Amino acid sequence: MIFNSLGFLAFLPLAWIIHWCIPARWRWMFLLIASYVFYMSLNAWYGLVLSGVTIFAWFSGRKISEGGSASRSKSWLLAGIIGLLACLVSFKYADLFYDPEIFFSKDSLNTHFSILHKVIMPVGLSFYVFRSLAYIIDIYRGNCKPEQNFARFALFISFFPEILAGPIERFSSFSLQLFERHKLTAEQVASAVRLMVLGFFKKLVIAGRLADYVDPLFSDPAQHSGSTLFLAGFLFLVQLYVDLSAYTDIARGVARLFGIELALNWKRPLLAGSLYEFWKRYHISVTSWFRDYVYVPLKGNRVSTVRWMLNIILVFVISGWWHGASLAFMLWGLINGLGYLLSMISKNKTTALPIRRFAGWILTLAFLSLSFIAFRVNSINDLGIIYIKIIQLDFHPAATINLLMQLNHSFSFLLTSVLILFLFMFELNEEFQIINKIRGFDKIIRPAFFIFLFVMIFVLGKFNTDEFIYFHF
Amino acid sequence: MKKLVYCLLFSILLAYAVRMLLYAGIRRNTFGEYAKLNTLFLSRNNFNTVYAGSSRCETHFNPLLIDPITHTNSYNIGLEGATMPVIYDCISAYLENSTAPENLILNIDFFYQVGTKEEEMIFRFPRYFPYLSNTTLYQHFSGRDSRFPFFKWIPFYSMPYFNENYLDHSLNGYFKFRQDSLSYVKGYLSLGAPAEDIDKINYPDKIIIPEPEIYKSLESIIGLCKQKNINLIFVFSPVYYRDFNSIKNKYQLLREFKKIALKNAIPGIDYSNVPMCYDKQFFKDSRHLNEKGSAAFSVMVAKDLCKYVRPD
Repeated sequence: MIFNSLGFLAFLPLAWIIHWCIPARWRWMFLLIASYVFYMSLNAWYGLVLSGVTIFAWFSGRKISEGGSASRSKSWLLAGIIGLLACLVSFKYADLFYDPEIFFSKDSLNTHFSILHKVIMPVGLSFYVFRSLAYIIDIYRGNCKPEQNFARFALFISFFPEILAGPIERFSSFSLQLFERHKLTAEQVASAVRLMVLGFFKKLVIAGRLADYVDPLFSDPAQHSGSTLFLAGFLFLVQLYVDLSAYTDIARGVARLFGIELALNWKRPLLAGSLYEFWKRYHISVTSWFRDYVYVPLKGNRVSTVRWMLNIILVFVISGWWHGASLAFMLWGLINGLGYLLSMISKNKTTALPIRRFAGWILTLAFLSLSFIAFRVNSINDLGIIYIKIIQLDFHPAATINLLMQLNHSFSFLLTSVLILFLFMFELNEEFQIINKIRGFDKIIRPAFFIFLFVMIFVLGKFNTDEFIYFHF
Repeated sequence: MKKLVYCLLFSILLAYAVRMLLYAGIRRNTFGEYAKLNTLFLSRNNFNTVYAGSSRCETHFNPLLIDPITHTNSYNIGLEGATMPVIYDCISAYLENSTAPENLILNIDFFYQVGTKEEEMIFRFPRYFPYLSNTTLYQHFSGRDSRFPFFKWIPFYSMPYFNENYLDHSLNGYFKFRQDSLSYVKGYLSLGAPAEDIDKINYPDKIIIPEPEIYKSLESIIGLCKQKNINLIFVFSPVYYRDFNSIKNKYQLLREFKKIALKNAIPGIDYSNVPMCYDKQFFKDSRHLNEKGSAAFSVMVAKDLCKYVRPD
């Protein structure tokens, strides 16, 4: 069962009612059971992998803490990291050893573990392995104490709203919330419902519709002009953001219904005025994970300038590699790493002048539209074809618009354009709190707006849309 | 909590209001498929002759060409994907608001499967949602697919099937910003040139076994016509010879329908072996005539129908 399934529609109210009806001291135990039911409803085999990772991380954490000497703790830490990464690699990258050709295509995204045919990679594996890694590293660094109660730790790893696609919470801050006694207020329920409505609207109405344009354009790039492919890159950038942030919105809303606050994972990245700013706003829990557990161990910026630059590029390339064992993902990481470096070097020169910020925003969107093409292409060959067409300035804007209107119905194109505009207006309002300042916003405008969104989900939603994009990672 | 309950109530009210507005827009369409459905299920018609059947009927019988020859005022109520049970439902629903026609030309088909699952019985079922106020249509469809009462009464259940198509047609109904890309004339839909050479297609041998539901519905149509004193005529319209020949039991199937016609004294005209069946220039695909083919067929069928139809 995933968030946009009928099963979840039955599961959520049932779990919510039971959770608040049982005595407070049992609630976390119920959440643990509910989380495993939720996760194993996707595939019973996933529960086995999840519990295996949980036992291993919990045991490693205890051993690191009990280590006795620094070297023993370090050995246990290394063993823990190697064990967890081995689990991730064996599921995620085994295809690469079995069929190296995958490196040049992206077939590994279909994640069939080729050695054990038909054993599917558990959805969300990356996210709970990352949570586990953060846990054992934090224990080693002394940032948190190991959890003595295994069941409590199991809940931290498996908490159902975030298990499939994050955000990646840290044990030190999150565990306090999970086990404290919560009270449910009407405002809490209202804000949770608002988040879920927004998430479903983004996923079913906007992301689903964008996929109708992005998928055919990337399926045969040789047939399209540079302008069409550039626009396809932009549409994919928006689709990816909408899809990912929709998942987080729904996850945060669901968690809030149970009295738990998940970390803010997105801060309107499409409004960023520079790449530096973009990566501060984009998929925050993942980028901060890479910062804390990859960049910092590489000694971050406490090294020579050249080494620091290499560190940044390395972190981006590793992050690309994490998305999939493909050259295109690594190139995506490399391009963004270089862009990020340039942006960091020039960041002190930027001013708060609106016109410069606007120009920076346009440039950032253009750069990201180009770089995210590498994220979406089906093969490295396609990436070459697309970049050559764009570099050769094979631009025919009128033909591009014409093609998009023919690709689906012309009304669908118009509707999609309006929805993208709506998304940017919504984000702008969130950023600058324009409408929010109007008197009566909380009492009338906001409820009316969300009621409207709720009904529009049913009118315009694409209910046959696939699962969330980040489930693949 | 009171505020949340109010919000929920407002959402439900808004959903009903939005759906009502969408349906109202759709019912205002004067072009395209919805205009045809409006005529079929909502208008008070007085057509002298009606052609009923599946998409083969919809795209083969052109009333504009037939009427001057037969001296009738006819309308084509053939619908894409309509099986014999749905054809019966639609004829019944048509009769709810309209005067019974003098003649009903039923295009006989055995190419479709009625289906065993409820969800498969009514092809493209969401297009009928705005017409569930037609009680005959609603009762018949509810009998076939138990979801129809929910489709009628619960907007949150029916609206996920809408998608932008509904909004598009609804807005078009209000603002008339374009004519439909598919051109319908008195219910007849003309098809363009074939997308691919129909001779290049492989037609594997097959045996078609019509489901009992088809014969049952045919008997219901015959009964309805007798009851309303409608002159029923069977027509088997052309099929491209290679496709037709691939049906190993084709003569047996035709015999079955002829037997029913004979039993009920219903005239039948069989075009399964006319010269145009051997000429691909008349076909959009192996089972549907293109504009040229339907024009030739309409003139041919009109001349033959003169012997059987009651003129206007």
